[in-house]
Amino acid sequence: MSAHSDAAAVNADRAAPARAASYLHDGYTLWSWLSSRDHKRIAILYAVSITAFFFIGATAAALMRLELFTPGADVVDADTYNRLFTAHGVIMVWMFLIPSIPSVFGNFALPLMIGARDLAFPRLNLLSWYLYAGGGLFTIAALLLGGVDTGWTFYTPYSSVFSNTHVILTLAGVLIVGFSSIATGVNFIVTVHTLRAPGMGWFKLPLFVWAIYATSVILVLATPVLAITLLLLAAERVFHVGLFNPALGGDPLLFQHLFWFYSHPAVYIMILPAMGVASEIIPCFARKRVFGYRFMAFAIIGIAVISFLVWGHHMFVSGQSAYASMVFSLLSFMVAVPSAIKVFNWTATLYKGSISFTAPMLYALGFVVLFLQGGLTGLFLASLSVDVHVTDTYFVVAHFHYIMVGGAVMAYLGAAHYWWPKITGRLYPESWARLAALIIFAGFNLTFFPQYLLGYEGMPRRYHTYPPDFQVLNVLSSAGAAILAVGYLLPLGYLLWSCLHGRPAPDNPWGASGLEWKTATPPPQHNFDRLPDGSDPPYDYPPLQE
Amino acid sequence: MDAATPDSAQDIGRQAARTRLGMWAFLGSEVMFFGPVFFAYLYGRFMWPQAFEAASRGTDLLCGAVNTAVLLTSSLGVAVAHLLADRGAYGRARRALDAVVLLGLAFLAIKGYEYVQDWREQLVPGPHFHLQGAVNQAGAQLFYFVYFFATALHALHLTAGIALMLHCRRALRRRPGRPTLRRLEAAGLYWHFVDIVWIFLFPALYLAGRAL
Amino acid sequence: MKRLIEVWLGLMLLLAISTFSALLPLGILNTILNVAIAVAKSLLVLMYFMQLRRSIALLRLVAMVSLLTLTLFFVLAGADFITRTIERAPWQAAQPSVAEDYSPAAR
Repeated sequence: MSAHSDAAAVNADRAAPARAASYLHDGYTLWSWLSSRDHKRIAILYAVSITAFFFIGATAAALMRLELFTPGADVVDADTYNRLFTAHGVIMVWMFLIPSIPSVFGNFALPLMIGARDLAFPRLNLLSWYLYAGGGLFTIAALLLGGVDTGWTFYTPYSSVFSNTHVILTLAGVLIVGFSSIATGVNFIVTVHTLRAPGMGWFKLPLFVWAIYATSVILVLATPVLAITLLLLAAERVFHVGLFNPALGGDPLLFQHLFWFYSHPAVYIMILPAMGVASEIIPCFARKRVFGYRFMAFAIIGIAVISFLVWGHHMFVSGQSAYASMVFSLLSFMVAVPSAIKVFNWTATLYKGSISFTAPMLYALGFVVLFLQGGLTGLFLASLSVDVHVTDTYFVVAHFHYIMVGGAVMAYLGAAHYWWPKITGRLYPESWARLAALIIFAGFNLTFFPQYLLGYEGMPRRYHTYPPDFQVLNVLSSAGAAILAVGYLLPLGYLLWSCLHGRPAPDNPWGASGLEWKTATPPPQHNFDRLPDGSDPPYDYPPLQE
Repeated sequence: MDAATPDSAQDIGRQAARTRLGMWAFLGSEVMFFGPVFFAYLYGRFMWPQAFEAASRGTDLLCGAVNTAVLLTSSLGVAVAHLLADRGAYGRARRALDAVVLLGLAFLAIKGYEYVQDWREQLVPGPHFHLQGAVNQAGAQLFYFVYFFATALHALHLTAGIALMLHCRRALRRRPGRPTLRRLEAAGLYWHFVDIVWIFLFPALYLAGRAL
Repeated sequence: MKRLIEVWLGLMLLLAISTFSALLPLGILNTILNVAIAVAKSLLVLMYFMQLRRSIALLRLVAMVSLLTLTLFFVLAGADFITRTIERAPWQAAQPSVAEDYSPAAR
């Protein structure tokens, strides 16, 4: 596109007479972005830093898959491989997945969806981002100094006694990012309770808001446990005491209980917002109200509650008592019930809908299919007898990647495409977007489905070499990873391209319901010229004529 | 940009409600922050009961009890300061906050004295740790690890509380009004929470194994 | 104001009882009494100093949910420790020893 038409497009935006300047034009200096209390600008700050961390973590994964192309150790040695998978885990979990949807799309869309001008505590919101960036710097520093080799799970006594890598620097980074999470959680909770538009009762809220609210409760209650656990670990490492060291009277399982008490709810921090996104996209592109709205809302709360009861399923073979294992196994089966209700309801929403396969819809449908698959294998893992066989193998790796990558990352991309017009005022190129979605879906399955088979056949996780019998499946998996990489680079390309050259977007390009679509695109700094009324029911898509 | 300036009594009330809810949600997270430390204590008490009771006797009961009284009184001071400020008696409220800060500093001083004593008695975990007469030195050291970790973390929170109270005291003089009152209430809630943590730390760390 | 002073007197009294009862050999009752008194003191602070008594129900809910979550951790994790039988190898010492320090610094 020529510079002339660029200028025309930009001027067309600015020349709109009765419209206030959008939040994007509210100051052009870097400092105006770095000191902004505007939830929309903070969302973009998060988006930029999260994307950077995603590609760092993905690079670590690429190196790992490259090594696993062949049975022997020909790309990296064992020690480096340990550092790679630790870096991949730490960065992807804490620097990407946990903040992703809440801090980017929760920040941007939640106040708009409830008809508020901003979050309850805008300055705290900015502090959250600085804590996240600061913690991220610690993590990068640890990486540059050689990394950590303990695995993202920091099991003791290896991490507390024997590892001589930069454990404490990494712990510091994760700790600081944890405080960012807690602050964000508090902010969202207070916002949803106190800043809803007049008439917007709880059962008029979009399901995305319910999901972010439940996620925030988990953030506030679970993250402090991680913080104290990492502090205890750091103290143990520095002062050579033995809370987690059996030789000194401690217990490594104490660490595991504390660690997983956070880390299991953490995976629900990653998936609940993704479910919320699916509940926004699917009704919109099926032109149908969500099926069973109340059940969906209660299922979100149910998932959040039960998520705190199941952490012991990560410890079935670590020496936990058999009775505790049985209890945790039973509770883990229970968490599948509300999740299944949601999958049934998304399906029922699609039934007899008028479906259009736009890019957001492709991502949302991909999310449902892959989340279903990953959740199903979670049930296999929750069965004690099966878990004994497949724990610490690639079966587990496949399971959680199906949910976190097939689920959460696809939902993140779906949200990015769905709200892209609202955030940037531009339309992305639809054909490229659909192509990328399909490439990602194909690449993802090629990467991770073979891993189920590898795990079932006994290939352990966190190993850089394997018996030659496993090579075929590993080659398939690595090939899939290459395709997946292409798939992820495509959105980076065309989305950035659309910021400058995309067609200007109308206020509501999808004809979606929801208060965020009833304001200008992009929204003005203060969100609404006049605070809207919230008493309309959510998902106001007209029912089909029979 | 903060939320729009309040232009009605309803808005003022809503802002106070937001601050209150925000602080309570934060305190909820703090419960989950300190809680696991108590679990670590219970773990040690369950696994090595004799060692933990013997180690408990090595703490200074007088200092612990006096410190508890100091902190409880400081909580009274905070509640009184809020009550006075709410009534508009800013001068007396500031004097109440003076007392709170002094009591907080007194707590830290007594704690510091205890730490020095512990160091002299070789009760600091590390290569020089030795509890007189204990068979299970590792178990006793575990107690003292929990003791130092918990009390240091608590003292850190108390220091933050003192800083908050000093800030509120200054705000009461410079710009007395609704926002300052909100901040004082929030800081007060935080102070009371730190007090409650100590209310549970005191019996755990000082009162076990005393009856001999 | 008067109510605040009364609460403070109650707190001081409870402190005295717990401190002095700890010096008496009451066995398991010592522990029960100490915990009960700590809970009572906390309730006084929560209800009267932190004004939970006259707050909206939501704030009481927030307090209860966090306490419940902590209790959940104590109960379920505790269940593991209580139901686990530790089997020691014949050569393993009955007690841990500070001499067995394998940390890098000791090497």
